[in-house]
Amino acid sequence: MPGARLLLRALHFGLLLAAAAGIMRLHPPQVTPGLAFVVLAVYAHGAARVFGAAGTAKALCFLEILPFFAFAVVQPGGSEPSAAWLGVVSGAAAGAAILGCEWLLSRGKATFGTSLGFIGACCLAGWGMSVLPAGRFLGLTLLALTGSGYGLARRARG
Amino acid sequence: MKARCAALALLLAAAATASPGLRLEGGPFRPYRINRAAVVDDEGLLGRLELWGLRWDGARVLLFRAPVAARTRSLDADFYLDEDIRNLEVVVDEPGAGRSATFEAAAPGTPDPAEAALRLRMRGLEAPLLIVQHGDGPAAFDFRGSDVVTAAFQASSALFTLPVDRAPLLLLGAFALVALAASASRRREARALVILAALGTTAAVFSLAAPRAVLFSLVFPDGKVPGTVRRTVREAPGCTRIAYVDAEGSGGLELVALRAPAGTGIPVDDVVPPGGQVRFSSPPTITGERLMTSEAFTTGWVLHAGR
Repeated sequence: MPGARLLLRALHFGLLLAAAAGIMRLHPPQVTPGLAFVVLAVYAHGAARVFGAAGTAKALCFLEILPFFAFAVVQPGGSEPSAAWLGVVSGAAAGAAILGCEWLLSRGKATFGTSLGFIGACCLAGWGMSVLPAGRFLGLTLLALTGSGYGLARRARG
Repeated sequence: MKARCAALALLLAAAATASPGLRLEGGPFRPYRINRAAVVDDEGLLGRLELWGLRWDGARVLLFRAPVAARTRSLDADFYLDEDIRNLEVVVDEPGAGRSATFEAAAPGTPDPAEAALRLRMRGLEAPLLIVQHGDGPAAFDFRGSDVVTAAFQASSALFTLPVDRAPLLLLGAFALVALAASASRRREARALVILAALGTTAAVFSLAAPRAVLFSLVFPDGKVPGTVRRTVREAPGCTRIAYVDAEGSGGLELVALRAPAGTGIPVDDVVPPGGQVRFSSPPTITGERLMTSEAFTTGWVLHAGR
C-alpha cells in the first residue's frame, strides 16, 4: 500500500511543520532545547514504530527530524549562534548515541520494554541538555556515542 | 521589609568582595539618559565586565556587559539609568580574580529646576505594556481624537505587531517534500539525497530562522498626537525597523518598542539619539559595541533633544 504509506509520511511532516509554525508564534519563547529534544526524539521514535523502521531506516527517520530540531533551538533566540550550534550538535550526538545503545541492547527487536527504555533515555538526555554546561553534555554524548559505536562494531565483526 | 533585607544582604555581599581599586568615573550620572562611565581598575580589567543596576526593591538589572579580551586599565560603559535604580554594581568576572564594587547611581542633593522639571515630565510618561501579536501591522492608522496615553496604548496593541518571517517554514516545507519524494523511491541514491538535504537544511536554518532584532517607533511631532501615520519598514543588517510617522515627520516625542535577543542588537543611537532622554519600561542591556539588547519586549518614551 505505497499510497497509504506516502499519506502517512505526508501527515508526519505536516505535523512537524504545524509544530514549527506554532513555535514561531510563541511569545515569549518557551521552548528550551532540552524540551524540544525530548518531544522530537520521542515523536521520531513513535513515527519509526508506525513506519516499521528499524536500524538504518530508524536512523534516517531521526535524521529527517534534525532540521526541525535545529529550528526549535534557533528560532526562539536566547542564545548566541555558537551556543545554538553546540546545542544542535549535542542533540544530534545524543540522538545517535541513544539509537546506538538501543540497537546494541535490544538486538534489533523492538518491544514495549525497549520503547520505554528509549523514551526514558530521551528524557534523561533532554534533562541533561537543560542542566549541564553545553560542553560537558556534548562530551558525555560523544562518549556514549563512541561506546555504542564500538559495541556495534564488535558485534558486526562477530 | 523582605525587599529591604534582600537589598541590604546584597550590598553586604558586594562589600565583602569589593575591590578597592575598582572605580566608576565620569559621573554624576543622570536618570532617563544613556550615560557613559569609565570603569577603571589600576590592576587592569580582564574577563567579563558587567554593570548591574540595583533597584530600590532589591532587584538587579543588567545594564552593561562587555568581554575584555586583553588586559586594559579602563573601559567605557554606556548604560541606561532611571530613578528606580539606586546603586550601580561593577562586576569583573576575571578567571581566578573576580571582584566587584558598588557605587551610588545618582548624584546626591537636589537637582536644578530644569532637571527637576524634566524628571517630573519623564516620570509622567508611563511606557505602555506591549501586547505582542504577530502579522503585518496596518499600513496606515488614524489617531485623530486620541490623547497621548490612548494613542500609546493603541500603538502598542495594534501597530507594534511582530512580522512573521515565512522563509524558514518554506525551507522546512521544501525539505519535507524532498524527503517525501525520496521515501517513495527504493533507490540507494534517494537515501543519500535525504541525508544531504537534512544536513543542508539544518545548516540553512541557522541563518534563516535566527530571530532578528526589531525596533518599532511611533512619532508624536512636538509631543502632540499625530494624525494619520504611515508604516515604513527598513531592513538593516540583523535588525528590522518599523516606524509609524505622519506627514509632519520625525522629532519631538517618540514611543519605541524593541526586542533584541542574544546574538543581535540595535545601535544605541538608533533608539535614543545623542542628547535625548528616555524612559524604558525595563532597562535594556547595552553591550561593549554600543548595541542595545533585550530578551523580552521593552517599551519606552524617547524625548528628542531640544524639545
